[in-house]
Amino acid sequence: MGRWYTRAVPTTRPRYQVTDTGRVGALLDRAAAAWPDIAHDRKRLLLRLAETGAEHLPQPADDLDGTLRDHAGQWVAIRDGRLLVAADDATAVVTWLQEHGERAEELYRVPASVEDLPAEHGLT
Amino acid sequence: MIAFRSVPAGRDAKVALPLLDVYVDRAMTIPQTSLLDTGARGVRLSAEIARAVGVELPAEPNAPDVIVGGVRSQVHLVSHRLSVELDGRPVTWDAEVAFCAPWPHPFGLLGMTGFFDAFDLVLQGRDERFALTPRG
Repeated sequence: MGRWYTRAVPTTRPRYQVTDTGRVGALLDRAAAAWPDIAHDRKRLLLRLAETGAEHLPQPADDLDGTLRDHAGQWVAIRDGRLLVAADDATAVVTWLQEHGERAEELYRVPASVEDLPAEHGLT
Repeated sequence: MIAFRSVPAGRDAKVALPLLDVYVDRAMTIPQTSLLDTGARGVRLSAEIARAVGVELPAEPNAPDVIVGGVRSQVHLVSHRLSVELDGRPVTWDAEVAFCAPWPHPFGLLGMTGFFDAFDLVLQGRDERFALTPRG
């Protein structure tokens, strides 16, 4: 069995070994085709794959709340608990979704306050 | 049952509301998140969003204005097919929809005519959840 030698590195954090073969190798090949600008650097491809995957994970509810508070008063589109896009007008949000071929599960304007919630005049 | 949805409403406030995502496009790709509102006389949705997703609306308003939250909106009243997803399945129905402009409000409104005459509602406020059954 081969041994993996490494020089001392300034970290106490866990380190992981990934071998560029099999399923991992195939994923890196796909990544290289998708991102030719870094196709020569398999380590960067791996990191970008991880980042891209993370972007598609559901956002924890608390994180989403915090994100939405930063967009109070703006129109937002959400899918899988993740903010897709925010803009000052609804048309810009719809246009972004259409241009990116994205499907939204929620689309609304983030209330700026409780008083911002709608009530129809005369029938409350 | 469908859980109320919590949305932030200001710096520290958060409100749990009976919200439902209503689609005006047949592909069900772009919804308008809407509030179940027994105080609304009908279905009130954003004309801006409807036009952006390709719904053809009359050029001129064709029904009396509505006033929501102190904002007067012009109404383009259209008979339109709406869709929601219930229990993972699409449910469609035809409704007279007031597409309103301007519509600066956070949510659309699902009111008496066009929504509550198409669904039976069980609302459990204490448990912050509701159930909808299409009337068929």
